[in-house]
Amino acid sequence: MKNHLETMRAQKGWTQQELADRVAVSRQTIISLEGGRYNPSIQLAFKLARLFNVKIEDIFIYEEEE
Amino acid sequence: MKASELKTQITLGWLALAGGLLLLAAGSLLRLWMPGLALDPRLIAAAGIILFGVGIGQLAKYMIIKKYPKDTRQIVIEEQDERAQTIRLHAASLAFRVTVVAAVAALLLTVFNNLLNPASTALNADLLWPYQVAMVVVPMLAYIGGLAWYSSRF
Repeated sequence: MKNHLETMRAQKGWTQQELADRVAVSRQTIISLEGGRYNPSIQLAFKLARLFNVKIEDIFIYEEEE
Repeated sequence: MKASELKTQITLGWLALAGGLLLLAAGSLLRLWMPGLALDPRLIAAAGIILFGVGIGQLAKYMIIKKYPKDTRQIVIEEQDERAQTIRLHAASLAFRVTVVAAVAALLLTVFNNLLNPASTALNADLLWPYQVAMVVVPMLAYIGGLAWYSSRF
């Protein structure tokens, strides 16, 4: 799933480790999320949305599979 | 980890430790006082030793977390990390499927061999032991391989 996580993190000036610490996941998870390889749980998606003070849809782009 | 959760885990550790000691004592005393029991008291003592070990492990883990909260926070995060858990679950699922296939293959081999050649056994005593070892080792290798494979995918 595509997302704007990297851009939003950069706007805040946070490193991947700082973002990982704020949502209590590993740095590797943030790397995979930003790379679009890993889809977060609904809980982590909400945590990220609340951290950036936006809606989940503003971070993650849902595309229907063909 | 919340303080209340930490306290609960430490209490569980103490309970396991105490329960283990009680079972160990009960097993040992029953063996001395009632030697003719149908249930071998050594089984009770063995269960006590296992429970005691579980208690020690539990206490050691959570007391270290209590003593060094900052250092262990990262370890707990790594352990409870949802991506890591997903990878472990996928690898475990793969290992389980390998186990099922191996077990079904052994059954099919035995059944068809018995149908075709009733005088012989496909998994005789010579083959059974290596096959059982393979039934443990191969799924373990599948699990380790699965961890590496899914780590690169997720």
